[in-house]
Amino acid sequence: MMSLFAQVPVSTPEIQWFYLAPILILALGGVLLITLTSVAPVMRGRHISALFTVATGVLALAFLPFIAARLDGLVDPVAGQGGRPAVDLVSSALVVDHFTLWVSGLISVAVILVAVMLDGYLEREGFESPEWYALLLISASGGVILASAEDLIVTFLGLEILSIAVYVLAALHLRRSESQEAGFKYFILGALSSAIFLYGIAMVYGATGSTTLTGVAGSMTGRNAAGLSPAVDSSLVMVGIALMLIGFGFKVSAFPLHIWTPDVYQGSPTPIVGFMTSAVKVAAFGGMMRVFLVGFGGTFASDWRVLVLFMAGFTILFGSFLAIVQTNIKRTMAFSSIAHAGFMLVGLYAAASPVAIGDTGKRAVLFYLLAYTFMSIGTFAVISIVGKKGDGNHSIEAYRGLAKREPLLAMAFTVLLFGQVGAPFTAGFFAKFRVIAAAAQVERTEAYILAGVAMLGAAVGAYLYLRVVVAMFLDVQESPSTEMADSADETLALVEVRALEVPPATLAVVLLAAVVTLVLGIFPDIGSGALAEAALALVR
Amino acid sequence: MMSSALLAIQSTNPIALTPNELWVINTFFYVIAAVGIVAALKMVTTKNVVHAALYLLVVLTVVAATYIVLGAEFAAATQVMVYIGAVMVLLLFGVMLTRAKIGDDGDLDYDSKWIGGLSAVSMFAVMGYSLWEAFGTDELPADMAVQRTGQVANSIFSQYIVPFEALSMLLLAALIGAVVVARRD
Amino acid sequence: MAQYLPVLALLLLGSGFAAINLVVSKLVSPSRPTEEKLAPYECGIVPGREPPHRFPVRFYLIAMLFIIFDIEIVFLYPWAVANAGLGRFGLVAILIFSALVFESFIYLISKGALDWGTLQVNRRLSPMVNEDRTVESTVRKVGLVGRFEEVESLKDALIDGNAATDSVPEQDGAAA
Repeated sequence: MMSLFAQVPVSTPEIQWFYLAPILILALGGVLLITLTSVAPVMRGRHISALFTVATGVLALAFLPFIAARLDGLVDPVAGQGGRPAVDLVSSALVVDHFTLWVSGLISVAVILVAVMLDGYLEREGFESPEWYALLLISASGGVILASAEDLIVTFLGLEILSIAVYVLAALHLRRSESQEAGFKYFILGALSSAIFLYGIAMVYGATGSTTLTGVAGSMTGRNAAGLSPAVDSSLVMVGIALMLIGFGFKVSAFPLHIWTPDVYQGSPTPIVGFMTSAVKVAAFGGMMRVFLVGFGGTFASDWRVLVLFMAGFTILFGSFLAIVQTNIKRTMAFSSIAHAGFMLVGLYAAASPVAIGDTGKRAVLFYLLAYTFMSIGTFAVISIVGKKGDGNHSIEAYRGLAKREPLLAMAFTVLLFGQVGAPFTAGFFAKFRVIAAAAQVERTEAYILAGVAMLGAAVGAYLYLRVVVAMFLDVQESPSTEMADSADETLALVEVRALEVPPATLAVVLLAAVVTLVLGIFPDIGSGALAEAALALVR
Repeated sequence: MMSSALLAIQSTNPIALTPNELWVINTFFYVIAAVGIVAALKMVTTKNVVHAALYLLVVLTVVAATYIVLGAEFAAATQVMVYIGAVMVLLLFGVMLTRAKIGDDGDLDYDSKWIGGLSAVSMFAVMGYSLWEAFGTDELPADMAVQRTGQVANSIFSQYIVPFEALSMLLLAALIGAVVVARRD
Repeated sequence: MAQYLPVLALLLLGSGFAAINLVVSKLVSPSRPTEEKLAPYECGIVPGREPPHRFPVRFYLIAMLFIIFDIEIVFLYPWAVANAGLGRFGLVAILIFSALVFESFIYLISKGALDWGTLQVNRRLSPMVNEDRTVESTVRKVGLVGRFEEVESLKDALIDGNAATDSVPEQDGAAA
């Protein structure tokens, strides 16, 4: 009977578990958490899930230096061209190089900080569910998969794992209808953008006959002077690239696709917004850089970088100018995050240039991601605290007198906001300076215009952050709402003043973020070795 | 010119089609394509939610039939089981569980639907143009064989093992999400 | 492609059969409609409006269970086909896949997807829902409508929450 079923053995890929560790730890952490809390109600107690998540994130982070060391020790790098160490995993589905490690590190840090922030938030709001943390971990694992994907199918799956968990997280504050609305909007629009992204993959596959990035890049080389090559249909590739740009543009909230951002950020639970601006943005930019620079970085780079140029310019302008008229801090920060995405796109534009400038551009984007991860998580930790029970106290007026009530928190928030302005001695200064410098190095008219637009955007953006800073250092009495108010309202205001509870763990997150912002602003070359390695890894 | 994507599905195990069979297949394709287009249009224009669901069923069936025409049996079977079997059930459950009206619903119209229509038409034009330019003159190889499930299985479990396992993570995330959003206690 | 010819033939035959039957019955049968004959049913009450209530969301969880196992089966099938050539690698791969998909089943059960009546989760978490309220007591309560003391005592028991654990059987016994 056995002979009936006997088949030729299939050559199964070798799996190098060690290099997969960050993905496996984050994913299995999420699965284990949801399993344990399902079968053992004891695990559902307060803080346990948060501790578990932090431990998982720390474990994933702890693996990275060892992986880096082993990568550097490789005698014969399997996939690294240009002499950069890289390892192709599981029949070229994933690649581990220093770029992957950089992105994984940022995502793990984001998971840790957001989990800490989430603990205080859930305690205040009276939620106990471990699903928050499990979805956080699963989403993070999707982010790492996205950034290390070497195959467009894996890119898509990573993007979907990342997004679907975040759609749900956006809707998880079940008592606020705004949160439900945010989750719904994010899901519908996100699903549409994913479908468009998938169209793009199909087009690229149709033109090149390959879904792996190296295969795509390989079949695109050798386009002749007329713009047509015998191997690749140029218009099909262009449409594919444009559609994939739409997919990524939605995730990073770039200009024509940014409409969802304010509504979703306003409605979602505040710590989750911190996760969206950090881990989701890092992962989406990671995936975007890998796909566009490695896969489409060759012949077609000069075509798509024009699209990125326009996207970047308009994203910065829209983000900065529309932020001014907002009165809700979460909406303001949403537009500010749109503007930041624009700055990162400026870096991506520079990165698409020929090698030397390209490396400066990549380094600039990666540094920007590092700086923005800490700044945005810190910012949203403060917003989460000031939001008070119910997560609804988000008008800029709510920040009046914060410096008097919570001097430490206000100082840290000031540092974080100055960081987002791009003031000197903060990480934000070097982040913005580097992307603009990289764009200026391209030495083309449109690049100079883009750099000018970026500087204009940075100047306009300064106003909106300083508005919040000024509000914090004003007295409560000066607020226009109390001018006409009688004493009863003033008493109410005083009661509200006292009601601000600051969980120590969340405060620690804010302080850490502020300290990192300052340290990176004073010593911007910390970790520049790893940064350079990460940037160089994308050369194929 | 034959595109590389089509070369990829060219058979290793040729069964040449006679002109007669080719005619049948072509006719079959045009018929189901017409049915699919009509059903898709009806799906977005009907004002009855259940009718829309049933038109969607027709569209999904047509997609499954197209897979058969292309010789992708496993994809067709999956399409039938997952989409026609499971997704449709879930969709109809959704209609039942929400307060959607079972009959006609005039409110299903959206005031600025012409914007959606415009973007749909322009996207169709761009994609249609580029697809036509790339594949307009291509024909399916006459010796195209049916993609055997064994071959598909072998590549799922060797070359595409990462997407396969990532898919289970995706399903897990989606299911946890669906449950946690649906259930408020 | 030729192996699909029978399927196509059967498809045409089936739809042809249905079409011919409809047409023939239209042509051959006498048409003498009356108001009663045209009514949706010849007996029972004609529904005048939509059912007013919403269905419990738990039906949705059951549908999710169906999806889980449906997708698992879809991927078990190619594994079974290729199993002989795959060896242990394939087994481990499908086990990982199944474990992850099965995990959502465990989660669903812990969320009370297969729990009808008062949710186990709620019984544990909320003092508002009395531990003694089982399917049995609920059914009995419905039967006791109008028998005043018993209903009142049950109400008290429910309101008392934790204290009710002792009091309910006592009063039940007294009433019986």
